[in-house]
Amino acid sequence: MKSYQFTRRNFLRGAGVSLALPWLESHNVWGDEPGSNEPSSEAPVRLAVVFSGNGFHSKEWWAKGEGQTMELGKVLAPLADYREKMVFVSGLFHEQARKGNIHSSQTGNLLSGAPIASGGEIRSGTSFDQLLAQSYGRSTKVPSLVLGCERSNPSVHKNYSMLYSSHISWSSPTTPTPLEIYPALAFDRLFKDAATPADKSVLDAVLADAKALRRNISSADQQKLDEYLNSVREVEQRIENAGQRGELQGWRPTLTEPNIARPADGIPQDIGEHMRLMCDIIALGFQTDTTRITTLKLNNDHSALRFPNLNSIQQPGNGIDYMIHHLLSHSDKDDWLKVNQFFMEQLAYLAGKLDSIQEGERTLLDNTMLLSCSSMMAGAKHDNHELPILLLGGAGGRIEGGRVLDYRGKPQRQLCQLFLSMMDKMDVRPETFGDATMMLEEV
Amino acid sequence: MKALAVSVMKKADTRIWLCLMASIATTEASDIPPPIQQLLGRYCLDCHDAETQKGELDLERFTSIAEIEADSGVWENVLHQIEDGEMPPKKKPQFPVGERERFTAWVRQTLDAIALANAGDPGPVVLRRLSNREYTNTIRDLTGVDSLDPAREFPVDGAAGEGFTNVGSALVMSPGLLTKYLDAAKEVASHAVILPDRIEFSPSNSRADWTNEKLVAIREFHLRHGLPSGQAPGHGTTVKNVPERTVIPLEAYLRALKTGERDGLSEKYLATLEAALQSDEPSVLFDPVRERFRKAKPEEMGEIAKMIEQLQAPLFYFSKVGHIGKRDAPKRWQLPTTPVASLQTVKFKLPEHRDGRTITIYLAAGDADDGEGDAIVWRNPRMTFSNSEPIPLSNLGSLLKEAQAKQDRELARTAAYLGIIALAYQNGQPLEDMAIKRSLDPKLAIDWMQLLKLGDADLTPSGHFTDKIDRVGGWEALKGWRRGNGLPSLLVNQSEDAISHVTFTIPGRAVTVHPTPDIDSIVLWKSPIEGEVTVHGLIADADGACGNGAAWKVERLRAAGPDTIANGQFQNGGRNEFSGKTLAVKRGELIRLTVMPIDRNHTCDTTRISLTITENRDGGQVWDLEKDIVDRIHEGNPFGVWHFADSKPKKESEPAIPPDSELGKWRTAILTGEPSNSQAVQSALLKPETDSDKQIRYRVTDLQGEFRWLPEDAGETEDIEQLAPTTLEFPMPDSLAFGAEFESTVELHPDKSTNETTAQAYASFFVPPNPLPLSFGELKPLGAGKARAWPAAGPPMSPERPILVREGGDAETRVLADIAEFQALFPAALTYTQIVPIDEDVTLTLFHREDEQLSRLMLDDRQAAELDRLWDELRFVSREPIRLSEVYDQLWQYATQGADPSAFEPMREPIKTRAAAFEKRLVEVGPDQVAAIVEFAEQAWRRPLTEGERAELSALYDALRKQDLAHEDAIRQLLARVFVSPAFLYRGENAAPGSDPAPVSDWELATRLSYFLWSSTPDAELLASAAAGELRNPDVLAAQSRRMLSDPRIRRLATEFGAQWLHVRDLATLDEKSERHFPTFADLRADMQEETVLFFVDLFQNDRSVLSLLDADHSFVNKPLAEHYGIPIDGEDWRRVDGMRDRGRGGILGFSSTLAKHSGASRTSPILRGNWVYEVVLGEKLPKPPKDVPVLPDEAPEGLTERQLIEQHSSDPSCARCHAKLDPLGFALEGFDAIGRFREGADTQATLEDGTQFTGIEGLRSYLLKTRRDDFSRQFCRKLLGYALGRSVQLSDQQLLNEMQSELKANDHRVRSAIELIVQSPQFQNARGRETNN
Repeated sequence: MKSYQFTRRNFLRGAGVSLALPWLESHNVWGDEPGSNEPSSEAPVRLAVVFSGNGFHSKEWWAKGEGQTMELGKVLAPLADYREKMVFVSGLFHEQARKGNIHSSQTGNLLSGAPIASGGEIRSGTSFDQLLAQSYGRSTKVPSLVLGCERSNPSVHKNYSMLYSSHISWSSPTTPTPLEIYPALAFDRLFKDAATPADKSVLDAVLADAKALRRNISSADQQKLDEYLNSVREVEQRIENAGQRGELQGWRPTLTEPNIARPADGIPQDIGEHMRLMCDIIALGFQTDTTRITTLKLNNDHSALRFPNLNSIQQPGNGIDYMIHHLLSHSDKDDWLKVNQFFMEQLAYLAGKLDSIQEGERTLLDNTMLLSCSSMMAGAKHDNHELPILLLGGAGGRIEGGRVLDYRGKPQRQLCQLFLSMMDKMDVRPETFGDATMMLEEV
Repeated sequence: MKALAVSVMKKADTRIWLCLMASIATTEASDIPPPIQQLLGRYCLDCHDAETQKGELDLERFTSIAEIEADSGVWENVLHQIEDGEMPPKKKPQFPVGERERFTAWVRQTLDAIALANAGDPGPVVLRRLSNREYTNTIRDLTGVDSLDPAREFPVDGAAGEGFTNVGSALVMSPGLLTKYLDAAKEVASHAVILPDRIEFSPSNSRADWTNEKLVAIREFHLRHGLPSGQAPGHGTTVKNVPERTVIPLEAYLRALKTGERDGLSEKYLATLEAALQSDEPSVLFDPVRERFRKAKPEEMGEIAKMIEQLQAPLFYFSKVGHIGKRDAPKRWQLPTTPVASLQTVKFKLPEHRDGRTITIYLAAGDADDGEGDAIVWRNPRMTFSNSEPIPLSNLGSLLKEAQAKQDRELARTAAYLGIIALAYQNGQPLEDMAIKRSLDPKLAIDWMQLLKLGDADLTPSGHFTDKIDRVGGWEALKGWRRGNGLPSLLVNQSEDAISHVTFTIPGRAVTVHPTPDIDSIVLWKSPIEGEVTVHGLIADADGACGNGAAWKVERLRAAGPDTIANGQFQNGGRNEFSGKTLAVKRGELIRLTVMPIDRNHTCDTTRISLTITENRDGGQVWDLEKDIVDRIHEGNPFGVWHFADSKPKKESEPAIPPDSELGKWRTAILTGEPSNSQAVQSALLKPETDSDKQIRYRVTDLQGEFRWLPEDAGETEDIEQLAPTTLEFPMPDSLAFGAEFESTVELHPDKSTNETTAQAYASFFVPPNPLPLSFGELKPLGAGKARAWPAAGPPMSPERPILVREGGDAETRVLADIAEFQALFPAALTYTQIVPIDEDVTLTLFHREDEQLSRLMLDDRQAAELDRLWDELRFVSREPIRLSEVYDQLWQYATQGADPSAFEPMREPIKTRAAAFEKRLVEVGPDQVAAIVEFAEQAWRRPLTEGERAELSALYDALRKQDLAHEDAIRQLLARVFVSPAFLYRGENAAPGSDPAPVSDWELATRLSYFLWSSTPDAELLASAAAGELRNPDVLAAQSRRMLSDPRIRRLATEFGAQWLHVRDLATLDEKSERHFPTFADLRADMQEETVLFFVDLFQNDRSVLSLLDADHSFVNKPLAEHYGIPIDGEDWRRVDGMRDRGRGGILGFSSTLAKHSGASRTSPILRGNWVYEVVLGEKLPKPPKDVPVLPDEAPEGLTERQLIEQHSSDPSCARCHAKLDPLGFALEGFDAIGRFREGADTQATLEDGTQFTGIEGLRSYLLKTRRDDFSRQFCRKLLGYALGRSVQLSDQQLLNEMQSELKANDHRVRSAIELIVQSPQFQNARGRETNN
């Protein structure tokens, strides 16, 4: 049995940024190179992207100094324990996200830096997490897990689909990756192997259907149908891979079976519980090496969440239920700060969870890149010329924590440079990504 | 031109039309005129040249009209910006006077020409996956199961195009989603009910439920033709304990014959019934019915029906279905009786009361309606008693007279009787001798003695166990006694070791007894000595694993009655001991140990007992139960002093003599040796005054009581002759009748009747009618002898009052024929609707079919075939033959362990044969079922299958079978494959080769139409129209559209288009309101959405005006919403209400759904509402908001209203540009709070940019209707078209939009005119060519 490790060389051959059919073409490429699975005794690097919409408090997102003595703005207070494992990055931005509308066209391309189409079209760019999923992620059962805690909004806003406000992961330029918002189903996606050989036969059959259909439809439709074809192929491959785990040499995951029960069906009433459950599932996915790439959208940009669970400072004795998240972001007051901190608490929860899991010399957090991002700096201003970016974790010793990186005022400050750097930590090195052609050296 | 375009579109082949337009476009392409180029350069290109591209806009690249055509959206925007005054920016050079108009006129002309040239372009429609809603609707419509919701946990679909979730580009697929589709497909397939030649779907996925659905279908069939027995007059009462059945609705049929109202009735039965009622053939049963029917009015048919039903009820009886098939069991459930006999047995109990009333036995003779004076004879009519000799009815009178005389005589000598009893008690003188000496009745003397309990009671033990038991449970050491086969019993353990069996444990060398809930276990010691003894005992539960303990007592029995020595009870597992009870006994007196089940409610009551009786003197004897009997248990019963017996507990010992009665006082005096007054007793007995004395008198005078008043010999019996119609009476006191039964046989008088004679006999303690009409009475078991041949199923039944005839006589033949005819026409049950028998615990009948009466009397061939089909499907779906075979094997194994299973033996062969045949059939129908899936795939895929596809489906089935999938599992997997295919999940349309648009296929057109109007798959009729190639006929297409618009499924258009357009489709789950501020909202939100949906449903179904969306006077509310609106209504349900405008609402502006949706969590938002009116209702476009907008406080600061707050905010010049357009529209709706309720005192005055002023919702409405009517109808058309096409509306659609608007105008704005224009348009009917660059 071979694992789907691959070298930089063959990846670059297959994975252009504008790759339309990444799984389709790459399928055979990997199959051809069985010699590429170098045994490794090192734990793999994992990527977790955590997104929250509508930015943060306009004055309380900052960090100064370094290491243990790093000073943090009030929004970041919940992360104080992780200062030495944190890289605070200011000044990065996406040129393309400065165009178009507010909210939606600032969000849909957050992880790709690609231009966003308006009108009837849905088009952005393949996001860097999904690019990693399509290469690096294939060595695990589930290439990537894309989770959310707020339902998308099925409408069009100012000529932009609200899909953009709720999808930062894109598996192709026209395919926003559907989000799983049910904790139980997210858990199933990692651990349920209900598919049978009979399912495989069905998938073979419908794949043939799709190929036949593809012959007679327009090229635009063909492109759409390829989403289906690729999906069938990946599910088929997952069925084939099921039961073939454990072939890794050297490093072994510290957990082979989930050590928590499958979450209850449905969506928890309490938003905090929902978010923490999703964090638990991410940690479990990493710990069991079922997936290495996850993206968690805590809420939508243009979010309609309310927080009756948080005690209001402005209206003492009540929850923060009088405004939805989006409008709250325009207020920039104490309650907004409190809500910001609530989101950072979830990040801290995930970091703490990962940090509590030992993998050899390091903790799982040390082997992870945990990227926190939002679509704008301050909700009140819709400003995204400098984005609020935060990295936690050591990428397997490849990122040094306890630092503040400030790119403000610098000529080269594309966020996509950071993505190139992060992909590099996972041995994926496209020559360009989005509007960047080079990595951020300091990272 | 417009008119021309319409006519061309309607008449010409669309393909030619499109080519024509395309050629115009190419020939007219030309360079942009220089003056325009100059204006462009001077006023636009400073910022929007290729280099600067401010706002990402490069206008320099447009050098020809062809290039404008290729990207015309940019120019639509340019035109909009300039006309709106947005461009050029205020700080930049402005167009000179007239130049701006010149420039915009040219752009407009150019765009119009482009629009015209491209009119009808199908546009870029990306391959559409079914949206979650469409998928769900499609599944539901295909399966017919509305409860299926396989997409409930799918990710939310995205919207694109004109803002709807049916646009291909926003409907994505991913591995995760595909997995969900696969799971969903399997879930749906699990609901498939696989029938021999087709599949159907059920709300359930369990075979038990499918079976039940089939049962229900059969029962419903039954009920279509018959009445449930409970609803039929007479049936519920005359036939008892008969399970669910249907009966003939006789009243309805009889009335139909009178009135001709035959709806829903069987013509077949009507004809038969009519013939029978009109016939002149004499019939003992029909004659009285016919006579009454002929005379009766239609409203009296209930009475006739009741008459028939009363005659009919005893003519049938019902066996237990659970036994059918067993050995010696009946073959059927409904069985006819034969109410004709030459000899009738009569036996009934007389009423039991003792309050001095008279009871009379009546004997009546009837002539069985044949008008003859017939004679019968009662043989040996008598009263029988359980404990004394019978009394012949013929002697009753004289016996009663004699007893009365004896009472009068002897009671007057009461004092004398008491005198000799006192002597006997005090001096031990023999009572009988004294009585004889004094000419008293010695028997009465003993009766007195016993009444007074002063003499020797009977101390003879009784109730001994008679049968030995050995090797209990296979244990050699366990032996004992019982009576017959059952409990109670006494067991000993002869071994030294404890023995456990099942749940009980008997210690070594121990004795146990086992009572039952009804019967106590008894051990008696009969004293062989006279003297003093001491008694010890142990009573302990020997069955702690089961039961609930026991109760016990030890008594001494003496002539004067029992006294208790010790008693007790213990819970499960417990034990009691007693010792040292010392008492004196006389020879022959008894010591009795009784073990009773506690509370008389359990059977696991094996109880260990030991009893030791020691004589209290030196060298006295010792009797130890265990030592005495364990080894010698089988030597006899009684064994020495020991007796093993059981006893039914006495309900109550005879009542004591009330101490305050004269007799009571007398007795006390005798016992204590004080002076007694027997004369007073005698007086009180003859003339009792107190209740106690009356009680004594009743006891003493009771003819069946303790005193023997009646002679022991009641005399010889005599038969009683009787002529019809007469009644004989035999009165008696109730104390004599108490506990008595009347018994007799009766027959035709041997001499005074002939072969032609018929008669009826009646005996009862009720007064019989005179003369006696023909009637059969109730059913009763037909003689004990015959019953034994049929033990399990119950005895055959017969009516209690047959028609008496001579055996073999002419009358018998004639009457039997009459009865058979009546039974054939009026069976007591049409069907056995219970189907699943519950009348026996152990049965091998899963389903019992007995409905041939229904088929015979009522069904035509088609109906009978349908009933057969339902039965076949029931047996198929339930797999009855296989289940039965399995159950049979289990039953056999179970039964052979402890009982005789041979009663089931006759069933083996038929069951096994049927099971084998069924297995064979399952294999045989396999190909039919695969074919059924292939047929189903055609529906699911909305088109005919290719030969290749058919072959592939069959091949997949074969492949799945090779993977060891069972047949049915493979069928389901095949079904899942149909549901997960792209042909199902996507609305794939073959594109024509090349770049020219071409019509889609008829199937694809049907699909477009049904997903437009129904958000679902085409129904059979639409598919048939497509198959016939008729759908392209504009008239057919229009007719189909109209049909579909009237269908309830149009609700999906109301939801998916109407509610989604207004942004309230998901209001039912909107979670954006503060519960603190609006606690009622969560419960109301679904109702709010429903109002909007129902409004649109009404709009489409009833072809109302599009303008009614603004000015309707009606809406739809239920109780909660009506309360929310302050509208008084009765009842809870949804209904239409009018007068909404007078109530300050009406149309979409006043819906609480739209008002609530466009508000904040805790306050209203005039900006959101204004924006909604501006963009959603009017279709206006706003410039982008500035990025650094000042922040609004969350709640209005002190002293500022929300409106003032916004006005303050909007006064910022950078904001004012937009807010001047939006806010006034929202201010007009400030009369509604954030969940759409009225609120007082809000300032609803609005002033638009152009100075237009209006107030409130009414003002806004009239502004929209008058000033903005065209804009509104344009927006409606644009949204509807965008929804219908699944894409953004584009420049080339302008022509169609114009036509839609003018059609609306010409048709009172009725919505269907716009819809029909869409479905007839080339956009809707064509697709772009394969090579077209989107």
